[in-house]
Amino acid sequence: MNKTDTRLLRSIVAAGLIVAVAVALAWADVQGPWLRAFLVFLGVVLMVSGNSLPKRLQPLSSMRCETSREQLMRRLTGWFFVLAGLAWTITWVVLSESTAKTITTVIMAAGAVVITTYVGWCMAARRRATPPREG
Amino acid sequence: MNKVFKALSDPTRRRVLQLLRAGPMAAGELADHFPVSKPTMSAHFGVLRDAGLVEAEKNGRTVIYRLKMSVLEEALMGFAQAFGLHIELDEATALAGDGKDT
Repeated sequence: MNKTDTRLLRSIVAAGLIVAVAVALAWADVQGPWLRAFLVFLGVVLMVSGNSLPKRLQPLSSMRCETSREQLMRRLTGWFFVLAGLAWTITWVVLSESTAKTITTVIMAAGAVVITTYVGWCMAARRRATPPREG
Repeated sequence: MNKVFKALSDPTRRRVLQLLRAGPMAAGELADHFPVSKPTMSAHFGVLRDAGLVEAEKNGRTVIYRLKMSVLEEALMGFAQAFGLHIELDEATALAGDGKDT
């Protein structure tokens, strides 16, 4: 197993654990401090993974879009994850449960829109760079 | 972390990182932006590589450098720039005018 496979396996296990704990908490209908603690932990996970995102580089030859755009996308996504994670954590520490739920839903929706937009923008550069086929 | 602080403490290296924000660049292309000798530039690149702030990739006979900074490292660079870069850049410009290496 090479380094990339190990990293991928570790990420899948970590994601699986987070999903498993979330399902268990929902199934047990956990409320109050335990739910808050888990959601604060999720915010920290978001911050930590966002912080290291710009450092996870692929070889230039295997880039799927124009290299400068790919770099910008990676940096901005990293910043977004860190700031969203920070807002998420503060929200679940400070605000009431109902308000925190609304705010974190908005953060998740904004994240989905931002990341989809960046990926689309990045892939568009690749399509333009590809020469038209003959015939 | 010490290596990161050491790398960010120098205005030339910070300028290299700023240039790389625009996208990956060849070593020669980067060196053209600085009035310093090639061995000096190589030493700066070495410090940045050791700190894990840039990654070098060979493409034929060219070495391509690209940014490899975490969000925290980028924020640290922002602080370093805000609290010291302007004065040091002026010094660097003055040295460049004298034709000296930094």
